[in-house]
Order: sequence, then C-alpha cells, then structure tokens
Amino acid sequence: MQLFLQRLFDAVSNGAVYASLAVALTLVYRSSGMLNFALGESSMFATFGALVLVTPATPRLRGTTWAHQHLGTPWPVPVAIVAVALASVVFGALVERVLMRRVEGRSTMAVVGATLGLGLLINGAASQSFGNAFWAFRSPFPHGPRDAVIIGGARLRYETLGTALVLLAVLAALRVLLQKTRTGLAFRAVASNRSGSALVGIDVGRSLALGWGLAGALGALAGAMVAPNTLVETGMMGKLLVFAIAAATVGGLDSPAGAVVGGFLLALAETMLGGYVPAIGGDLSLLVAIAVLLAVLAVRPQGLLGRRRVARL
Amino acid sequence: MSWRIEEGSAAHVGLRRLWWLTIAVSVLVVPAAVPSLRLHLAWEMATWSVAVLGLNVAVGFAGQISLGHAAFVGVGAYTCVILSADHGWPLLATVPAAGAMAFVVGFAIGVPALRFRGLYLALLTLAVGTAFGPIVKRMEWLTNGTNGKGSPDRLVPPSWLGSTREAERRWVYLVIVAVAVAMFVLVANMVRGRPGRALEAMRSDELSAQTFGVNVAVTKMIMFGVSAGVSGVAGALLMLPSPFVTDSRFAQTLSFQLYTAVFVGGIGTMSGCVVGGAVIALLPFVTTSLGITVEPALVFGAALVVVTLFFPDGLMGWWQRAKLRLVEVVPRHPTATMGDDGPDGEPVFVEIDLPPR
Repeated sequence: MQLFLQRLFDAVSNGAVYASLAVALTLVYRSSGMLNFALGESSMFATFGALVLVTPATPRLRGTTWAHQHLGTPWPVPVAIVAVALASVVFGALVERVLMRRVEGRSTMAVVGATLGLGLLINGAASQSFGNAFWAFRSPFPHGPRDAVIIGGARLRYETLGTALVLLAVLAALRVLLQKTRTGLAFRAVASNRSGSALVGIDVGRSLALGWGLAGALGALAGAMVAPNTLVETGMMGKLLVFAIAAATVGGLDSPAGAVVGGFLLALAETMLGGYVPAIGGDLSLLVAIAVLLAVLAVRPQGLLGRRRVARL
Repeated sequence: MSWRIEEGSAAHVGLRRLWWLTIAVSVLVVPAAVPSLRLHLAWEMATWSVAVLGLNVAVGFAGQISLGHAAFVGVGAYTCVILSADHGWPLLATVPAAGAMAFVVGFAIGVPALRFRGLYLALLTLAVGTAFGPIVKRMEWLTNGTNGKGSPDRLVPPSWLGSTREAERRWVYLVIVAVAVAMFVLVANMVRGRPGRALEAMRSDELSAQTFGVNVAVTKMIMFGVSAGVSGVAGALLMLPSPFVTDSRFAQTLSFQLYTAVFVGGIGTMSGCVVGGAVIALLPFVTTSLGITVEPALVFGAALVVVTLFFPDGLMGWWQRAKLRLVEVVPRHPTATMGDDGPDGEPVFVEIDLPPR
C-alpha cells in the first residue's frame, strides 16, 4: 500500500507536466489544426532562459553576464519563471505570425516540416549557445529532504504538490479565460468555424496568435517545473514531448479536458507499469505510452473526449 | 524563350541518352579518378541517398509522415552486423536480410498506426524512434549494449581489382553504388506500377480511392514496410565499409535530418533523394573543411524552415522549373482514342444509371 501510494504521488507531478504540455498542443491544434512539434524545443529554450535569469554571472553559462549587467540577475526562481512564461507568449505569437501563417492550408507535410524545422533550429541554437552540459535547476518550492507530507507511510513531497497545484491552477485559469471572457469566446469561435468568425468580425489572426502564445507559456511553465528533476539540457524535452503528444491524442487532440485526463492517465500507466513490471522499468516507458495510446484508439478512434470526425465525399 | 522539342523526337531521345550517359560516367569514372581516401564521401552519398529514398517512399509517395526513420536504418545496420558477427553470414548476403528485417518492423508499426487517419503514424514513429536507443541497450545479449557491436568480416574485392587497401575501397564503392541503383530502380518501378497509381489516388482522395477498389489500409502498410525496408538496406550499406554499429548513431536527430533531406531534395522525387543524401553525407565534411564549428541541428533546422517556406517542392522542383526555361518537351500527340479499349479493338459501351431528376 505504501509503495502504491508512493507511485501514485510520483505519477501526480509527471501527470501535471504531461497534461500542461498536452493542453498546449490542443490549444494550437484546435485553432489551426497543426500539431506543434516545436513545442518541446521551445519549452527547453525557455527553461534555459529561466536558468540564465536565476544563475549569478558566470563565464560558464552564456548570457548570465549580460543578464547580470542589464537585468540585475540573479532573480528569485518564481520571478524568473513568470518572466520566461511571459516572454514565451510573445515568442509563440511571433512564431505564428512569421512562420506558421505562411504554411497555413498547405499539406500536412509542409506543416510538420515547418514546426519540426523550427524545433531543430531552436535545438541547434541552444546547443550552439549553451553547449551540451547538464545544469541543475532549483525548484521554486521547498525541496529539502524533510519537506514532505507523509500519507500512509508514503512521502508526498512539497515539490510534487507544488508542481501539480501550480499547473492545475494555470489550467483552471486557462479554462476561465476560454469560457468566460470575450477573448476566449473569440478563440473558441475561430476554433469551431474560421471563416464564419471572420465574417462576424472576429480578428482571426489575433486568436491564432493567442493560441500559439498561450501554448508557448504553458510549455515554458511545464519545462521549468520538470527541470529540477530532469536537469536542464538540450535533449530534456524529447521524451516529454512524445508523452505529451500521446496524452493529447488519447484525450482527443481537440479537447483540453481530454488532454488533462490523457496526461494523468499516461503518467499513471508509466509509473505503475514501470514500477510493477520489472521488464519495463524506467527506460522503456515510451512503450507504455504507445500501448496506452493504441489501446485507447482501438476502442475510441476519436480519443477519449474528442469529437468524431465525419468525412463527406 | 526555350528550346521546344517533341517527345520521342531524335533530339529528345538524344538529350535523354546524354543525361543518363553523364550520370553513368560520373558514377563509374569518378571513383577511378578520385583519390581512394576521399572515396568514402562518394559511398556515403550513395548510402544516405538510399536512406532518404526509403523515407521519401513514405512521405512523398504514400503521403505518410514518419519521424523515426533512423530506427529503421538502425535495424538494418544491426541486422547486418549481428548476422555477420554471430552467424557467419557473408557481408553481402546480409544486405537483403537487413532490408527484409526493416520491412517486417516497419510493417508491424504500420499495422496499428495506419488503421487510423491523421498523424498517428508520425506520433508512433516518433515514439519508436525515441525508444530505439533504450531498446537496443536493453537487448544487450544481442546488440552488445552501449559498447557497440562489430564484425571482423570485410568485403573482399575480386581478383581483377587487385587486393590492395585501395582496391578494397574501390570495391566497397562499386558494391554500394550497385545496391543503391538497384533500390532506385525497384522504387521507380513500384511508383510507376499499380502500387504507385493506387498511392496517387489515395493522396488525392482516400475515400474515392477506396471506392475504386484500392485497399487503402493494406496499401499503406505495405508501402510503409517498403519504405522501412529500403532505409534498412541503407543501414546495411552503412556497415559495409567497416561493420561496427552503436545505437547513438541512430538517434532522433538522424530521423529529423532524413526528413529535412527529403524536403531539401524534393518530396516525391527520385533525383531529390540523391540531393538529400548528398546534403547529409557532405555537410559535416564541408563544415569541418571550412573550419566552422556549427551544430548540425542548426543547419538542418534552418534548411527545413527555408525550404518549406520558399521552395515547397525542394531543390529538384526548382531545377525542373529552371530546366523548363531551357528545354521544353512537347508531349507526343495522343494516338489512342476513347472507346477502342474492347478486347478486339471494338468500342465498348457501358450502360450507366443516371440519377433521377
């Protein structure tokens, strides 16, 4: 029981991270029908940004000296994370405006090519400027050995709890933004019928840019939350992105609620199967993601909460 | 102001022959002229062309996105080395086996992924490509884990080439080029034959292709298997010069490089694969000889973005259009007329039910 609870707690923080990234994917997918393969790399770059902002000036990490002189870094960790998330909104919107709008309506290959190329470009830029070293990232939450709640003998660390709570709070805020505000209404209108919304005077481009911007911010947050565990390095997001895409697909790709369910489902399957089936372990957890994905799709091809698509000849 | 020639005219046939002759000469004579130490650039070009060709079968011809083709190249390479080192197969015999093995793996991945429409194959191949390294490490008894696996076997040149180190390298080149040409011919024939036409129909509209009797799911699975198999052959070719394989060589970055190469060369073009293969093979050589230290990901990413935005049909598409300005081939006048397709040249009349008004 104790071990089971422990694994459940471990799944919670992973689940929150997968869920946030998956929701970021659905935001873009819903509004523009594109799967953003660059999300992992842009989140990684944002995490490097946060790292630069919290690190005292050192020649070992590029940008820290400049940030120290001009921005007065090191900043406290939460401030740096918020700053990077805001910068990511701008970056995401910029990407939509400059790059993605040009491939709109072209073939799936072209869209995948553009996001994949952007991801490669960001990854290359990160390797070029920050090298391939691994950097520790301080958690914004208390993370000493005694900072935990003990439930049934299992330790629920404040860090886990904080990660999950922050990300869930952000997702809740996002829901309010989308469901209760005019901006959100416009976004949902664009997602459901693009030309119709344009006809009633909604600024479609602004809604699309908003989707990409919010997705960028969610990615940056998720990156910063996961960084204390994975360390900061250029390849930190590879596996996470696969899990996030799988989670979004399991949830139905166009449903943020489904993405959250999918994220937690995958994290649960990952920790439980990896923990109780020794043959899987931690290194083959990707296969678990594949298995869950195929199992769900075999039963519900449109995903758990997705809309069924009907083709017309 | 272009030179117009009629299809099938003496000028047209002559130009085509000249073109193929140029290719044949440059493939066969270049290795004799190039110092044998630089020959590896030529055979790497041929090898990577085959790998890109494999991916292009999926992306360009079948319209399916694979983001994990490095894994299939890896399967081919491991098959080659394992058969050679553990089972004493001659190196050349492992090449078709590597293709078959990768075909099976690709088909197995295609079976679940291609039943669903959409980006599931992209996702599944991305996952498999990312899991390739861990799986290889886990199967240490077979793959020798992170240490990599090698085979002492080498290709032995025939006696007329001599038995020097140089003759060995020339022989390696000739073998790789021969296999590469065979792969291109194979794919060209498939694309022109029934599978290619079925794919063409599917690419324009899946539902109507199905209506016309194309088994969409099976065609996709087989074509994805072929795509993986061709890339698997490239994996074996990669091993022919000196069989030694490690998993790190087939990481996701390679999959993305292959994807970029398909785009740079031109989606769905055969000659574009050679261009793409040349990019992968020559880029590290060019940057090091220019003394630039640049992350390959940066170059490939920039290339992919620029090509998708500004050259949607790749360098070969751009070249085709440039060529049109010089020489325009006027299609032959069609000789067959409608209606004489019956068994003895008689017109065939088909009764159709018109929908009621």
